[in-house]
Amino acid sequence: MNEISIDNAKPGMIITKSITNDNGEKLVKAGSQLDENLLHTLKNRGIETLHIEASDDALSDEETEEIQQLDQNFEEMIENFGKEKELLEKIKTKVIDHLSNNE
Amino acid sequence: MPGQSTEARIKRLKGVLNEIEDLPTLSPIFQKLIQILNKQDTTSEEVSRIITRDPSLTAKILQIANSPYYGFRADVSSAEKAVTLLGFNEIKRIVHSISVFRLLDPDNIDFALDRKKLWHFLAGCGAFSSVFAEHMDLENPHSYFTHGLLHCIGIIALEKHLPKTFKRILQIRDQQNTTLIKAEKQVITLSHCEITSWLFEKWNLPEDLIEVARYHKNPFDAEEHPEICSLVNQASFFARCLQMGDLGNPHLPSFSIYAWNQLTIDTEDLPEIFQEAEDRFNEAKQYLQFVRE
Repeated sequence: MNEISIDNAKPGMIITKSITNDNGEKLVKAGSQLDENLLHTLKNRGIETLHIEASDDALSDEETEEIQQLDQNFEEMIENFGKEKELLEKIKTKVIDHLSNNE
Repeated sequence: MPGQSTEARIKRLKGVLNEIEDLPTLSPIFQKLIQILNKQDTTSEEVSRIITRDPSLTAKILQIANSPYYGFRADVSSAEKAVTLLGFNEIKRIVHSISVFRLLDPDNIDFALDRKKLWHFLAGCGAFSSVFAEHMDLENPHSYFTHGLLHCIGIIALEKHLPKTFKRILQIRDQQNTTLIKAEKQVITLSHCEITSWLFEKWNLPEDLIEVARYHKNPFDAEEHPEICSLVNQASFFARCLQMGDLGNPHLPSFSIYAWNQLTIDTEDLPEIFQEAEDRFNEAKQYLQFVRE
């Protein structure tokens, strides 16, 4: 069971722990599947994290953070490159695509 | 170090080199094996003859050859049979992995660098080196696994034999947010690249491996093999990108356009290359398990 930030939640993920609001009212029960609507509702209600079923498609927060760090590393490098910027942008995209799909 | 005279620096450098001279190096059998496995006209009889001189190496190779990983049907009962069945490239990778792992001294926990990450990084560099070599249509592409695997093992020598100095180097790297090589130069006036190439010379390893160790950070300075130095340069960059271990530095090494251009690889081929490198990386990790057992 992974706890992830709602920003990293995607439609199709299965909720493994029911979500309640500050007043203790149940918003979503465990076992529900996320869709765009539900995600939107949860965000509006100020929910920040949720527990989802570990799946091959989903990235944990740690993995997401690592990718963000890598992205930043690349951006810093790209700034210092002149006409080769485009090449490095392409490489960055391939690396990040690979990491996002593969873990 | 600031304020230190050149004379003091050279004296210090000599002290460092002398200390590393006492390094318990690769055993003569491993050195001999690495040499003959890199020659074109070596026979499997020669290779197995040398292997059998080291009983623990023989046992390891038989264990690996008989493991379900390879799935040979018949019992592999002799070194010669193992060499014939596995082939030189496989034997080479096994021998190199075992020798590096022996150098890593994994039972000692008092090291500044995380053993697992270090091993993963070396294996990742090996994986990428051989995959790039394939895509560059180099002859005998699998042999480049070794170049990646060994390219910076002078770091291990430094860490092991000058542990305090090495910790200071890491400290300076982190405090000044600089590269390992710059920090090394500040503290001991030379870098692990020079140390590695110097060790390779002592071990009589082939010329291209020596150049890779010396010039993988600045491949355009290489005299004979800028292409191979570039290959390892990019292998270590992409191994870091794909999070195959690291040397404890959160930053990516800077990207060398020169080295990239030497590879003559299209960015559109990268997804395929990444996948192949991941597969080979996982194979290499398998060796680690064998060596540990």
